[in-house]
Amino acid sequence: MSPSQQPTSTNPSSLKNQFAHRFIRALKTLNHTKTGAAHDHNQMYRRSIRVKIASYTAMASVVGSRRAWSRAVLWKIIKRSRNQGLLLRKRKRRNPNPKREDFNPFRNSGQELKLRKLVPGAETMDSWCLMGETADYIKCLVAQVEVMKTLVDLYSIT
Amino acid sequence: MDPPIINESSFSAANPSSYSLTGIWPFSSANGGRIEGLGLKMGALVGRIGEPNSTRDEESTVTEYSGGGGRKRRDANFEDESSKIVSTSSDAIALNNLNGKRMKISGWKDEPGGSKTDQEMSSGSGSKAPAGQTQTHKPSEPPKDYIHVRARRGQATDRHSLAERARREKISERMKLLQDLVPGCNKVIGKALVLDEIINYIQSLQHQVEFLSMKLEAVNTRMASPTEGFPTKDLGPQPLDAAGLLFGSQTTRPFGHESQPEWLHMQLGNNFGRMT
Repeated sequence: MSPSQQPTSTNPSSLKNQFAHRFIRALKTLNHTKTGAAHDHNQMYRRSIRVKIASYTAMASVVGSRRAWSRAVLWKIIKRSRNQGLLLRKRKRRNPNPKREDFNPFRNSGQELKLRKLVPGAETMDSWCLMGETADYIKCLVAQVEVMKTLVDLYSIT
Repeated sequence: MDPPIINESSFSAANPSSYSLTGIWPFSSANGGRIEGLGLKMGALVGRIGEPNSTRDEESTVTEYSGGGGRKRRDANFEDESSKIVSTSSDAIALNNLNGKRMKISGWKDEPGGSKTDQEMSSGSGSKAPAGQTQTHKPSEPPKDYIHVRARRGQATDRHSLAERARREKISERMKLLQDLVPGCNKVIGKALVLDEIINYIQSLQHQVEFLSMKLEAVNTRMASPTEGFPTKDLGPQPLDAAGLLFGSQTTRPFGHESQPEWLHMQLGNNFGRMT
């Protein structure tokens, strides 16, 4: 394992480092495989979506399998790349903590539902785990946004 | 019937004055790994004793099987804090023995536990000596399987409501952490509003990612095709590799975020080493 890929745990600067590293690598790959038509809006849109996916994938791969949301993101990407031509089949993940009672009978209503939709992979979690995942997700999103802002600043000097 | 899980020495690490409880209540959570078998026994015992008290408003503590997960760090923190308030006395032990209802088995779980317990003690059955607060501490070792809860005066003490309350307190602890993460969430009170803020924040962050990705794509496209007439004297057709050059040459470049140049230097240094 190369020294730049050690587990980050909660260190935000190393998180940013690793994310930037992987993201830039992905952007390089995207750059090389791009088509030349720069004015076609459809193409631009598709390329920007690829950049977005690259950024989420980079962040999720930095976090690895430590967190449920990163696992969910990576799983979605893998599934999407597998199902490119096939029918998209729905696959539900079973609740990993089946021994706990379903404590909150109102979990599927109100704001918690919105939160569950926003945080990837948080549909079948209990509320306590949901809060933890949300906290980690927010932390990583903030790091991601900061890195991307810096990159945009960096590359837009003309 | 009492498995020898109690080590007085394990308590001495945390608090030398809290031995006494081991005499009264041989089951304790000193050894988290062995509790699993005991959990049911303890629950049954506690339940039996707790039931006649369900209508009383006296305090009692119940231990709960929490099912693990490595998130018991808070317990360790709070034990450190609350170790200052612990004291035992022989009076208290005798009282506890007589009482039978006072099964304070272990440490508090929530933050204001210190002040709260003081109030509770004084507001509890007044005839007893309020200073005799007995408490054992789980020595701050990793994973305890029990979360220990104290019921407040005037609240139901049956098993289910205690479980509910423990769960709610866990969730509100995490909500507090989330409030610290989300800027501007400190002024909001109430679970619904805080959740609204959190949802808005996450949505805005995701929109920002999308917007920045569009911008990055545009910038990359512009950079990669230098025939468009933009002066790219510092960056060649491969802007990403040249970022390191850029950084090396322009050290006084104004940044929006002061803390970032350091990590970017490091990161690009790594990058360069890897790619060239």
